Amino acid sequence: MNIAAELAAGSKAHNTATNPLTGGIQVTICYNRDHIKAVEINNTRPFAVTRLFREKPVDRVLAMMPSLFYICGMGQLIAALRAVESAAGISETLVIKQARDTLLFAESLREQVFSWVTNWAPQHKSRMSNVVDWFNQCRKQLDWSLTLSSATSGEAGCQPALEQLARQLEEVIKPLLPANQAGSSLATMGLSTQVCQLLKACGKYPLGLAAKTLNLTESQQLTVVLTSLKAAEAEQFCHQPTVNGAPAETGRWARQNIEARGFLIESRLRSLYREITTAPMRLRSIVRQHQFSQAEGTGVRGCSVVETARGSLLHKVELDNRNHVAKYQIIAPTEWNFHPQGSLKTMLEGLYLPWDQVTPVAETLIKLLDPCVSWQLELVHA
Amino acid sequence: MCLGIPGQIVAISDEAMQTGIVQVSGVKREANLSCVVPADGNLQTLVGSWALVHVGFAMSIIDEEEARRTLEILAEIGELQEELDAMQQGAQG
Repeated sequence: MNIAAELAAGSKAHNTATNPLTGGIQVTICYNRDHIKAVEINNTRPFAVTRLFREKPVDRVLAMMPSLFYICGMGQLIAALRAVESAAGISETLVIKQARDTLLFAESLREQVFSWVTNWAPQHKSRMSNVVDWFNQCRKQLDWSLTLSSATSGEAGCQPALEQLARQLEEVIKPLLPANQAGSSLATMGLSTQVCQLLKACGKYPLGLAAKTLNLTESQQLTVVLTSLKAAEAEQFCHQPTVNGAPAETGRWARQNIEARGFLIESRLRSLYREITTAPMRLRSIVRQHQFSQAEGTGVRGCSVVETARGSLLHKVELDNRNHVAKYQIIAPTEWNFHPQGSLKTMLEGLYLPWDQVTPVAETLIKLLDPCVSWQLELVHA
Repeated sequence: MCLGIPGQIVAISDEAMQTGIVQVSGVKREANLSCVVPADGNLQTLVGSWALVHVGFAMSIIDEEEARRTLEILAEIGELQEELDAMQQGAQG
């Protein structure tokens, strides 16, 4: 069994059949003689979800968020709260902001560790439950911040709770840190020999350039996106968003400001590991009231952008005079990262490599782009 | 958008591997239960519980009422999506 087959066998869960309700990502690669001729990305995730919110009272819509979205449920709920508060003219206090930033951070970390242990370091799988427990602790301690309100009774105990959570996180992360702090090789990151070999094999092939990185904290980019959300085809735009017609990539690659170096597969994996290992330090900066969220307080009425594990999540809401939802729009990170013309296509199309390497290289890239739904890869020999 | 799908844990398939059978939308599938292991480590106590399942992992235990509520919303989305698909096909045809 080759490395790719072994890895695929070890992580079949990611490659499961698509649930008709949640949809999924279908990637079809057409290979011709010695190179990848074409890449087709079909995103079948339900784009009609936000229609469900129309004409419903705001409270009901907010109550639906955690039931409806799980994988980035905290991100979705906080983005919704901030969008609605902004539409209703409610200010977020500093303490509420700190609590919500911590929850966003905790959920991102849970997702990053999940991706790390399921795709790259399966020997750490048993550590996942510690991270889930820690996330649940955060949720329990800071739940008070998840309501539409400018002041709550939970604020008084917030600082001690955050400090306790920061101490707990140090212990949770410790087993995932490199055995040798001074080392920087893949092996010191806890990757198995098989994954190291796979990355080495993938590194042989010069991938095309990735899409430009998305930065919705830049008012110019945000304005362009919001203008498209006003257009008649806005629903389609949410499904396949672009900046001035060009796809953009979001996530840790964009957060770490690594531009157009998509050919470095190994450095993409390192960027995931870096976010996990620096988590205690980053949480401490939230506890010390520094900003973690790079993109919030957009200054646009009814709009919020929060940073999730997979990238920027945008919510835009319009309320009517009864405080019911008149219009709701969401652009999720997977829509940016799996755009039909996005990074996956530009990195793979035209790539010269042997037929038996197409699957491992493509699977590695998909896992690094990390869709939040199941995905399937189909190879066609032209 | 990533929708959470509730499934009911109907059996433990492998205690050592921490896997179980979860029934999702009427279909039984194996799922990894390592994220929802009870404090006493007894996986059998999970049988009958509802969980949110993501790419083969039970990620969180939820109560039956929450599962019912979520399934109702998902059914509504399914109907809405079918209507939209039908409208799109009609427009193309």
